[in-house]
Amino acid sequence: MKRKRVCKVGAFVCALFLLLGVLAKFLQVNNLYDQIRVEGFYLEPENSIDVVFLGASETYNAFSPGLAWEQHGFTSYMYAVSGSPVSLLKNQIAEVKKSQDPKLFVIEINGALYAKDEYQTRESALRSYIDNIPWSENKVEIIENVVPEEERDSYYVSFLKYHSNWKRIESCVRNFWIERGMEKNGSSFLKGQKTRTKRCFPEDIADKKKNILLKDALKDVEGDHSQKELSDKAEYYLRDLLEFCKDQGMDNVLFVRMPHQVQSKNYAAFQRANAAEKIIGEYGFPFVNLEYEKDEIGLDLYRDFYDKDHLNIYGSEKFTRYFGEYLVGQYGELKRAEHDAATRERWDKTGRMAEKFTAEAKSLMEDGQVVELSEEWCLSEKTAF
Amino acid sequence: MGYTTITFLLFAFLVVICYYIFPVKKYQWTVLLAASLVFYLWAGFRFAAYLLFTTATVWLGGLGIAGIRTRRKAFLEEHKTEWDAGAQKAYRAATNTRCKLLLALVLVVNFGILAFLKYFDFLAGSLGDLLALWGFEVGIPRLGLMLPLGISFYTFQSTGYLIDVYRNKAVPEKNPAKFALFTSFFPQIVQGPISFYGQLAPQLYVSRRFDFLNLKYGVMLMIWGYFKKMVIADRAVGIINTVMADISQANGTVLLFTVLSYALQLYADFSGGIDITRGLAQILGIEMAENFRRPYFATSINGYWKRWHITLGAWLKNYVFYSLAMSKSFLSLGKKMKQRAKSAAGAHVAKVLPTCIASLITFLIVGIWHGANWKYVAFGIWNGGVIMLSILLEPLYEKGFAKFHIRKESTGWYIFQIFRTFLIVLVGYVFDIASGFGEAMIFMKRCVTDFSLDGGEIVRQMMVCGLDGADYVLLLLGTLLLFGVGVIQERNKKTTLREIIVQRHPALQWPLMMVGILVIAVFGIYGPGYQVSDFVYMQF
Repeated sequence: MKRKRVCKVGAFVCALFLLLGVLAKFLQVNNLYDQIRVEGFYLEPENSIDVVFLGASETYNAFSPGLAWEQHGFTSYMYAVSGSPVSLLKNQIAEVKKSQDPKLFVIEINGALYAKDEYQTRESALRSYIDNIPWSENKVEIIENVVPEEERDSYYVSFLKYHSNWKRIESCVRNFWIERGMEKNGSSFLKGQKTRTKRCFPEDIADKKKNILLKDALKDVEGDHSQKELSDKAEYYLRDLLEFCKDQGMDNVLFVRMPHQVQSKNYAAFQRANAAEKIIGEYGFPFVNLEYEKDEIGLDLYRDFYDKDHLNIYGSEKFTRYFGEYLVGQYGELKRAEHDAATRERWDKTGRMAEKFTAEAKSLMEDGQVVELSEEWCLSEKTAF
Repeated sequence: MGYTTITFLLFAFLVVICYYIFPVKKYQWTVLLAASLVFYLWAGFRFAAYLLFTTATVWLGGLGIAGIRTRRKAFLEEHKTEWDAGAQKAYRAATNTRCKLLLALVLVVNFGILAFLKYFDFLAGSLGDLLALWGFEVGIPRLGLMLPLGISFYTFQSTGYLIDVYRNKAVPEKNPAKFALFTSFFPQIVQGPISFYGQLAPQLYVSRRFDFLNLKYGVMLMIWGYFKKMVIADRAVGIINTVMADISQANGTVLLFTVLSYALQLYADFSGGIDITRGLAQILGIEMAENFRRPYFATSINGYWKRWHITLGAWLKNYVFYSLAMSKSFLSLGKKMKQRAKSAAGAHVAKVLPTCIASLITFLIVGIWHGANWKYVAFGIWNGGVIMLSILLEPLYEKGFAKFHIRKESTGWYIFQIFRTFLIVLVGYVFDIASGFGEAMIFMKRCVTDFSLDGGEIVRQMMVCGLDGADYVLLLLGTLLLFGVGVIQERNKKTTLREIIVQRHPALQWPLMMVGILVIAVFGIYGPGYQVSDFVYMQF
């Protein structure tokens, strides 16, 4: 009798935790695009990625891994989340190294350029990354290192945060199907790329309500090397990252600043990028400031951006060609021949998908439809393979 | 360690395990004492001194009264042959006075502490306002004192014990540790129920073995409590907080909706907390006093108070109402009025007036107990006044029933009574949620004068109350569930819903528990981004 009761209670508790686990997984949706991008990374076969991009939204809007494969023959992944602070980068490198041995880390420094210290612990950005990576010692370390102490509970038990997502059931269902789609495919389709089908028109820059004229808003930064101090925490985390890379003896790190449509609103970030370049230089790591290479890339300030900080699909196409060439030129080992047949086949599919994705984005943009286009779109297209 | 935290659940789980595996069954109660101390100290060390003081003084007071009586008995026995009846009576009276003095001393000190902590600022403010009216601008300082956790509840409970000892209704506890457990028993210290010594204490000290049925019933009750608190009450509180922050922004309909939401929130919050308490106690094999019996099904305001916060009502009835109504002055008042009464109505008034006055005073105390504000005084007077009038006007009602041929046993009349009582209760609640007496008056006036049926405007105002459509749907479903369960309980007064489920529908018990937990886990209000609401009655 006693044993029967113990079994009953045991079965009840097991079933309860199982259901709670399923619910927790289903309801855990924060930023859908970031979540899919981060989760997709873990579906990539071990040691199959040549270049890993780290940083914020500038990266995955600017660079197309599929097109880069088609054009330059190296594999890459945008292991980045929207608004990612520099505080995450050190552990992101450690996280990548657990499953991949990239020939190059490209680190976009946007996360170090925000004026306020609080940005480094901003919940939305931290959660977009931390809540979506699998449990490991490294994850615990990130939580302990970056998350404010009073908020840590809900990072350890994320259900505390996401249980109320029943109100966003549509996002949960969408996320569920995208995850299943990626799993069925064996990996992500776009390797993290995302875009918005929009152009940044002059009227988006000029603000009539605030009486800001276009000529006053836009900044010509050619030859401008002025600097502005980083926030205390940003500098602390940047130096911590540089120390880490140095201690690890990493010579496969390239720091970059992606091209922006520099306006009065983001001019301070431009100046801080110059300050960051100086700090990075102190540690002997290479830095490429692509703000100064817009003409070489062939970027049109209105046609190729969807807002002041992000390239649209036209800009992304140009940037991928230019930067891919630059990387192959600088890092000779990024060669197609190094990958086995299965990987090549998989990436050929990715390349074709990226071409279709680019064409679709352009088509939508010409039709004047403003939408976010990402991995989800590919699920409707995957039958083409 | 709030009841709605994972910490509390883990703590409770550990306590239950330790309690049942404790090897020396005779001292099983020490596990509960240790747990109660840990629970109390968790809230902060500095307040523990108040609890310790009350425990010590009441325990010593009980022993003191018992000591006086024991010595008296021995002394009288010793001098039985020497003293005549008169001398013995005089000695008894003298010792009784000593007992009374000791009782009064302990009560005054403990209620003095409670009153000082709770009412000093209120009295200082009121006195300052009064003096200012007379032209004296005296700056009486406000102390901003913090109330120790559960001070009202443990003060009432422990002093009840002392009065029982004085009245020879309880044998004084000799073991201070056992008495400390009675005052600090952790499931109930936050918000009651206020237990009688004779009902709770013997259960605390006996040794017991694990009972599977108790576990099931206890867990079911806790799930129901958590559902009421976390899914309903903590969701509804958003409406009240938003609307009451500035009532001028809401029309009369939304104000009416707000007080209805408060009725729901208060009941779900308080009864939910009590269910958690009683459920946990039941897992430990302890049957705690019932504190709610579907109060909104009451057919009179008197009935409502027999169903709402039952243990406070019972405490006040035992130690305040009866003490007043049965006092020499009240009895002689009744007698004098009876002699002077010349009509049947006069005789009725003479008969019930002492009871009415005692009721009014009792409810005034209920009001003041709720908080240091004139609105609570008004709340007490409103409730006591309605009861007083209903008793005084009873003969008139009877005549009215006869004249208008109203059948008191008809369903229609029964439902009318429920609605009428609920309306009276709602008026009392307006005093509760308003920031002061003046705002309560404005609130009630606007409920009538600014009542609107403009659906679009009502929806617009409700959508800025911090809740969205999904929350309202959930609240509606929760309310329907509460109502449905209430109806079942009303129809099965001799049993509980848990017994009905376990005994009549055993196949349902496990799935229901599972669904209950999952519903709380998903739809409960908790986690980052939400301000965890304390239980409303914690502040009292």
